[in-house]
Amino acid sequence: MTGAPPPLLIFQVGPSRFAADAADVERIDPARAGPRDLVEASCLGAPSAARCELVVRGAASALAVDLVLGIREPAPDDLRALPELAAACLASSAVRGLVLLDGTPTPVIDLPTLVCELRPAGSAPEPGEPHHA
Amino acid sequence: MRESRELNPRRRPAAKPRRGAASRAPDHASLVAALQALGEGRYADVRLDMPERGPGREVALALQAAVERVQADLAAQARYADVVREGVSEAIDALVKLVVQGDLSGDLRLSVGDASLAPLVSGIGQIVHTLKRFVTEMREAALRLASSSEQVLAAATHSERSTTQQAGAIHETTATMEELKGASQQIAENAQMVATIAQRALSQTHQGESSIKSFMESMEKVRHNATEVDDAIGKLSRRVERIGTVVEVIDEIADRSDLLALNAALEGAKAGEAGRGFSIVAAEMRRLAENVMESTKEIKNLITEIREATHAAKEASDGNKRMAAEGEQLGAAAMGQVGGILSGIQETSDASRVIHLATQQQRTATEQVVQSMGEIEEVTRQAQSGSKQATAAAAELSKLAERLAELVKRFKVD
Repeated sequence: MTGAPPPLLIFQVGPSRFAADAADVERIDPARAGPRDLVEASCLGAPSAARCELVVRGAASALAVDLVLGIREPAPDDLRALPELAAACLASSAVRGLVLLDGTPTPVIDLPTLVCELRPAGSAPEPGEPHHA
Repeated sequence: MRESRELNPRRRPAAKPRRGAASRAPDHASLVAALQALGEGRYADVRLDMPERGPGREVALALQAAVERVQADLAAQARYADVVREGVSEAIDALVKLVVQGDLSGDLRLSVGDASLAPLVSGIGQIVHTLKRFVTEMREAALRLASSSEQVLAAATHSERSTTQQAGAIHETTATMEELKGASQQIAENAQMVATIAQRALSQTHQGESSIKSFMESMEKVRHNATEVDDAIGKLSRRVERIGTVVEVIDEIADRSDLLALNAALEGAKAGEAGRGFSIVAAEMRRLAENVMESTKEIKNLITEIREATHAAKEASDGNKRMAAEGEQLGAAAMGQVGGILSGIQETSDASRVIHLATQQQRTATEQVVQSMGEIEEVTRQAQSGSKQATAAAAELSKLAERLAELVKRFKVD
């Protein structure tokens, strides 16, 4: 990662906090705001209350989360690359790195990749979406 | 008699003529003196000169003869008197001897032959006969007296013993009556005390009755207030629910405001440096929304607490209503029981008054009885003293009867 880090949207699924590039979120909707593809369970876990839905930019899908904690603009030093061993162990490629929030490492999630990985097999990924096996 | 002895012509010859007077007639003075001496019974002083002849001599002789006759008669009377005196002495001696010896069994035999003493002898015989009859009757009377005196003594002794026992019994009765009087006094005092206590208990029970009435009124008020509280709690609960609904709306609005603020912040972040001011406003809005949500959360907590408190108050109110209803039931039961207690205490008070009055009458009667018993005891004491005196008198009478019998025994009548 080089340059100023982008603003990160901090959200919570279950007991865990995650971060995502704010630019990947088209908007934040309340729960059950409308009919669309809703990712309720993922490698991030399953939300307990699912109070909000993060509409992923360009994916026409939304990720159900329990809570949106806000937007942070981390310092460059707060961003960390994912260790190779950890990246090799992960089944999902949606986890792009770590960010230190108040000293706590928080996974940075690539939301388009995550919703793409969860799309049913055979459905073609949209252009620009990351591919993963 | 003595005069007759002096006139005895054998011892003192009367009318002896003086020397030298025979030749002449007795003068008138000497005759008068002789007749006066004769009339006065001084036969020895009858001195008359005996003339030798003439009528004076006849007078002197006649006078002398008369003097001699008188003297002879006097001598005869003297002898007769001696005979009578001897007969009387003999009769009296015989009578005295008979009386002294006490032998009245035989007939009195006197040798008095003079007929003039026959009445005396007859009288003495009658005296002896009368004495014999008296002695016989006295003996019988003495025997009867001894027997009667013994009976009187026995009766007096028995009476004394009975009187003594009676006095003892009366004394014990008097003491018992004294104790009874004291007991009556004690009973009267206790009855008075019971009456006082019963009156006090009656007053207190009346107060208790008033208290129970007040209690029941209070219970009714409590029940009424509990109902009002219940209604108020219901209203409060409804208001709280309404507040909860409003808070839910506010919370939802805040939540959406928060979401909107988040989206605004998101857009601001996407806009980069140009959207920084927008992001600041969004952050402020989000902070406000969070504050609202925090406040609504507190309100919800408060509502929850109010609900719990309202529920507890509702339960307490229901409990109060139940307790008030039970209190009213208990008060009614207590009122009925107090009514019974009042009736019982009233009866006790009346009975204690009756007992007090009766014991006072009993005490008065007992005092009268004690007084009467005292008088009876005094009379009995006097009777006892009299009985002792009667016993002593009977004993003395018995002794006298024995003595009389012994004395009468001395007279032999059979």
